[in-house]
Amino acid sequence: MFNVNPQSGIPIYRQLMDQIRRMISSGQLKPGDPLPSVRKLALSHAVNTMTISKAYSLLEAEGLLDRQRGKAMTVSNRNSMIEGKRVRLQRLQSIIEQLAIAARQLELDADDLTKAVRHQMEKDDE
Amino acid sequence: MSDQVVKFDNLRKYYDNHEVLKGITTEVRTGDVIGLVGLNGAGKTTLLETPLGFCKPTQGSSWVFGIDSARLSSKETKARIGFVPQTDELLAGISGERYLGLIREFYDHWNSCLIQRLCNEWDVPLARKIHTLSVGQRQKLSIISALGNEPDLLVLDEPVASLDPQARRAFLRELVAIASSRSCTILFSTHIISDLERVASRVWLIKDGALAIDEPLDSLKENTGRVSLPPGVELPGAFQNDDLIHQYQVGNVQTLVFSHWNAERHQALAQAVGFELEREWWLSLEDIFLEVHA
Repeated sequence: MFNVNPQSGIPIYRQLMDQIRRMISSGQLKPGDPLPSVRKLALSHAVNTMTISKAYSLLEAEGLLDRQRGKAMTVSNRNSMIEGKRVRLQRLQSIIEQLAIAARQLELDADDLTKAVRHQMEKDDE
Repeated sequence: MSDQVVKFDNLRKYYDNHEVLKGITTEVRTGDVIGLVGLNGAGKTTLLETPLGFCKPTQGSSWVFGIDSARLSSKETKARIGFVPQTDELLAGISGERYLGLIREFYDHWNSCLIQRLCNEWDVPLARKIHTLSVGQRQKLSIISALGNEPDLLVLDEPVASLDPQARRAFLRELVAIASSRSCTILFSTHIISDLERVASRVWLIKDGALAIDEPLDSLKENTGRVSLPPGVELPGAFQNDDLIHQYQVGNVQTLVFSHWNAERHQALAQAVGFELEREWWLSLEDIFLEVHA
């Protein structure tokens, strides 16, 4: 469900928060949907449980997740948090900026990038 | 009961005239998972063996569960500790099964189910004589034998050095499970920094016998910044302090690495030099490790 990259400089709890935010933003995670338990997620990714709890707690504080005693964390019911395409694209802005800088340094144009991104996404769908 | 598991107070250790540990003061609290990194010969093993009583401080003190670790004699205290040494101390001439049986004799409490499960899951052939096992299999057996008494403090000196990636991942999962289910405190050293980033809550970086870093992993990553100054611009004196970890010049561009960095300090530096500055936000622990040793 999630993807953890310990080599990235971004702390793992932030990686998780970003991924959960994105999935809520697109509606892949719907209001009321349960999230995996802290322990289950920690064991499946071999990540410290405190890292997972920290991500969940911060998202709870942001109002994106709800905690019920003795039950799984769920996606908050309060409002629809699904965002339009433009807003969702904005969430990728910093990655796109970096990609554009790197492409220019490598003398690759927008068509090359489009092709490569399409190829990657088709590969992930398989 | 204090939740302080290990405490070092100005810990110094000399071997002959060589100072291996140069005044280390820190503590470990219940549930911490401390990842210890450092170059070969930096003092990692000496530091890990001190709370176990294997290495007596020349000066200063070391405490474990509130007891002076140089006088660690009671069976009850030893029963609360598990240790995996860097070089296994298994008995070569007997089978793994017999070895585990001998270790078990030392303890009142022994979780046979856990041992059985791990031996199965990790593919340790218990019937074979230990000297016929591969280095990796011996390391697995050494780890398993340290877990049977379900210790409150687990000390592991490069436990994964000989394990293949699959075995390493299985071991890390077990470490996560142990740390969470029994609030076990773990101290482990490793050169595989990505492993440390997965499971450690706190990083100790030992350099020349001193702790150059002793910080929660997340805040370490969040508060280390690498900034390059525009060509020809000098670093203002106010920023030349202890937080400047590393400074180097390529061509006429100066690059600086700071600890305790944040948006305000970044802004202050930009104002002081009169340029907008780009900050490389996220340095991995490996980057930080290399910068500290550069």
